Amino acid sequence: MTPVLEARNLTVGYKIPGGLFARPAALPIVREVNIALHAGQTLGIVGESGCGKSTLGRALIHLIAPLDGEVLWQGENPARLSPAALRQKRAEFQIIFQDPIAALDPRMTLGRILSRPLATFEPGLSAAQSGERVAGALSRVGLSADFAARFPHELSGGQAQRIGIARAIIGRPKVIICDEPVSALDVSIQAQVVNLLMDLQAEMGLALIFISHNLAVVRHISHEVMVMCLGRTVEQAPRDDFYAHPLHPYAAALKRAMPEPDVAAERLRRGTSLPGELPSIANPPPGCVFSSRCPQAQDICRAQRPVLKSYPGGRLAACHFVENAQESL
Amino acid sequence: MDCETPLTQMNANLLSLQDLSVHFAHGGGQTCVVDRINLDLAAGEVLGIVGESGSGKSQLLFALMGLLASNGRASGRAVFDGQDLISLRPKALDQVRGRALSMIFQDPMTSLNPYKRIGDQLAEGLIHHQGMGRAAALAEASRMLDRVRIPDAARAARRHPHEFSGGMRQRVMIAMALLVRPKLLLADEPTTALDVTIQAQVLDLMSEIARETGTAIIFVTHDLGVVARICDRVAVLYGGRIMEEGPAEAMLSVPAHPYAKGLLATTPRMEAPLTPRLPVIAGAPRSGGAMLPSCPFSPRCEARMPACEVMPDLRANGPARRLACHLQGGA
Amino acid sequence: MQIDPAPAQSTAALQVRRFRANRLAMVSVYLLGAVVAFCFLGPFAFPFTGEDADFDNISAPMNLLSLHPFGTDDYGRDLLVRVLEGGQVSLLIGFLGALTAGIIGVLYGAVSGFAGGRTDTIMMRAVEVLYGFPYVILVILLSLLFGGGTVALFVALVFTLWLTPAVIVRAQAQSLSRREFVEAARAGGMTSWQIVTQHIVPNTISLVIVYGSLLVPEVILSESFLSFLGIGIKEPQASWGNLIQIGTSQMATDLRLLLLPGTLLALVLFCLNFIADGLRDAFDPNER
Repeated sequence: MTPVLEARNLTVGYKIPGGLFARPAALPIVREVNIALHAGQTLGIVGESGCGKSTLGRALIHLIAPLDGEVLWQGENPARLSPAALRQKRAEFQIIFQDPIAALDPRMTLGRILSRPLATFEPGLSAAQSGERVAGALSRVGLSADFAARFPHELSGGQAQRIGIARAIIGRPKVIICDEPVSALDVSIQAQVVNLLMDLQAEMGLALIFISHNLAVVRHISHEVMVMCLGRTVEQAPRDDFYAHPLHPYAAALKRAMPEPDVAAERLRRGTSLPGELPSIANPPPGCVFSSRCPQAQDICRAQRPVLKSYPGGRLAACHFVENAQESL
Repeated sequence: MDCETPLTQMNANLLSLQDLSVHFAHGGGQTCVVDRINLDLAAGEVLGIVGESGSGKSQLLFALMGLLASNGRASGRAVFDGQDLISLRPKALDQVRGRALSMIFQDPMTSLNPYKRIGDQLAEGLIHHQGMGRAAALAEASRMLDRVRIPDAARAARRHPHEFSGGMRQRVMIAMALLVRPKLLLADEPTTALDVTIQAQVLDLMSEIARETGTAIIFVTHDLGVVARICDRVAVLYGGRIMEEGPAEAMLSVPAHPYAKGLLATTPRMEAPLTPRLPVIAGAPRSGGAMLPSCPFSPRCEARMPACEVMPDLRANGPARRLACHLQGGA
Repeated sequence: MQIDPAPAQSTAALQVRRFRANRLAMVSVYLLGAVVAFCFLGPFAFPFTGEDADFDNISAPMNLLSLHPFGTDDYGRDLLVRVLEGGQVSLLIGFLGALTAGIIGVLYGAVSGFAGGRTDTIMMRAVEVLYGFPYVILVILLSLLFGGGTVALFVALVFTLWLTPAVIVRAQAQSLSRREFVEAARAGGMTSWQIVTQHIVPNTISLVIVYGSLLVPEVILSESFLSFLGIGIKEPQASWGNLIQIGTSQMATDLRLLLLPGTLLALVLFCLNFIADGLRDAFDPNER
């Protein structure tokens, strides 16, 4: 079966404007990423700020054109579609954002925010039909139809995120990129939104890319987890295997750093934080991206970048010393 | 381990909040954001204050520091080291802040001057408050930067704030707070904006400081995981009131208040067994409004009963724990 | 479970309410309305226009009860009617000029800021080049081209005044185009032009209204200044600028022709500035 969303050797970045006559330079933010996502599945993408996870998410729905490699939407490269066909096809590849209020135009009513994509995706709809679809989407995300007349500034964060989700599902999508969708929400609201996304996935057969820095939330919603560091995939694995024992020392460090509400376990973790900070993405080290902080780093790690290798159980990891890493855990 | 404090020290409270309330006046109305809080803090203790948006957790700290917005007013008493912070005149409060009390914020840039070298900013307080000479103050500043594990402290002191990463800026803030050798450090979500591995470093640094210098910390956060990592004791706030309070270990293993239970259940974990759906607390956090006679959590509470129309008192519930719920002993 | 909303309150309604609460600005609105109505309706109360000479009453003195309440000039033209008609020209040029310059500037700035990259660089360099163009020379050139008069003046004013709104809107559009709702609009299949007109421009409107209310007095002042120099509105057509210019030449003997248009001009400028202040407070309550 063709994956609904695929990335092949995807490199994404920004062009740094070089002035009026100078040539723009390319700064890659995401390098050589491979993804194959099937309907009804969730891939969790985890990493710290600046690892390129949000840039990757935007490239997957072609909001940013790749520098190299390609994205495939059901086997079709969006970069090769005509502009008009691309706009139609966008109905199936949607996104929700971290700051739910900033994602809504402050001068539009929620009804208009929700009906606007329909005007593009299904131009044949009458006003009444479009109104019905808006009411349907609102009720699907647990909001009453009265919200259509309201403005974004009247919403709480949780309500705004529900509107963001309603806008994403109104064109009957196949894939939704969720870019840190619960990070800005109160703890008690986070669970509501995660549950809503899982319900929608079950109902509509959605494929989700769930981008987050929070390993615990990712565990609940993902079937597969991918860890990024400085623009590269360092580990990718099925969920349960990953949480049982991460292969890459960076993934293990992330997991250990994540505080859990369990005092006995946390006491053991006090004082175990890794010193140092990650290098800048503009200036990656020649060897392994994690070599400057890795407790197991050897000379080879600083000189030679490890490639992403397969391990039993459908796992991938990019480390010269995966076996050692496993032992030391 | 580090959470064992001698009993004698426990009895002498460093800070004692008595019926502390915070009101904001606006457009003819009044909003109560902190409602009659009673809470004691021993010297050297790390107390977590947990709550969601609108719980009043940050305003509580601002009230102690005298940093409320101009339309805010604190009432009640906050006895710190024998002095009531609420009734102190600005000048006297300034002296307390210069000697025994300091605060760090979520965004370190709010308290750093972007145009001044880090070392000068740190030394300034020492020259101003403690009458130190400039050279001695600068030396002390770089010693303190070294203390918070900023690499190459002497050189770092000559840099400007924008040359530091978020984690390093927060270390600078902690260094600045520690310069006054505070007895109490107020921390308002200091690690929320940081990456997970950097958060772990800062939390390690803070618990080490608490242990080695005997500085008490009030750590405001929304994250129960952070509480588990650093706090000895925790108070759960909702709608400006304390719902439950007690030792962190007991509170996080067997919470008694329906809200504390809900909050713990709804926090996703990496170790617990997976459920098809995350447990939720229905509804949304309370956002301001007039002071209610009822329990602020009652509209969202599954164990709600007629008695909840009257806010229950915060009463002792087992060893060193207090609970404000009509279901005494827990839901 | 369904969540019901709180009562609706649009941003625009909030802003109108905040503006209405500002006393000084509201008084200014009424005063300005009165001046505008006076200039446009006042002349109908007289049986002659400002260009009709009354040879029986040449250089008539001020007499509030006579046919010529403020008297006449050397040609027997009624002073009050001339000042009112001059006001029509000045106000029309002011509001139309600001509107035209505003529209051009907003579209140019919005496109430039949203497009970014090389397009933006080229468009903004063009603005800088035009900024450097001496504007009095431009007016003289345009007067030669159009044979002088109102059209040349209007074109020259618009030509120089759209630049600043373009720069302001461009900065705003640049920050808006990085906002997540613009990304959402692209994911929603909107074309760049649709995003500029439906998302970017509406969100710069409050800024433009505030700036526009400052632009109107600027246009009126420039018109007066150019007419005062003699390269704007020409006799026998009146504007506040050329009336004041005549007024200053007679200032030693007769203050009427200086004070009458001068007072009205000052009044309009004050009103517009207070209104601009009020609008800014209404749109950006956090600015202060």
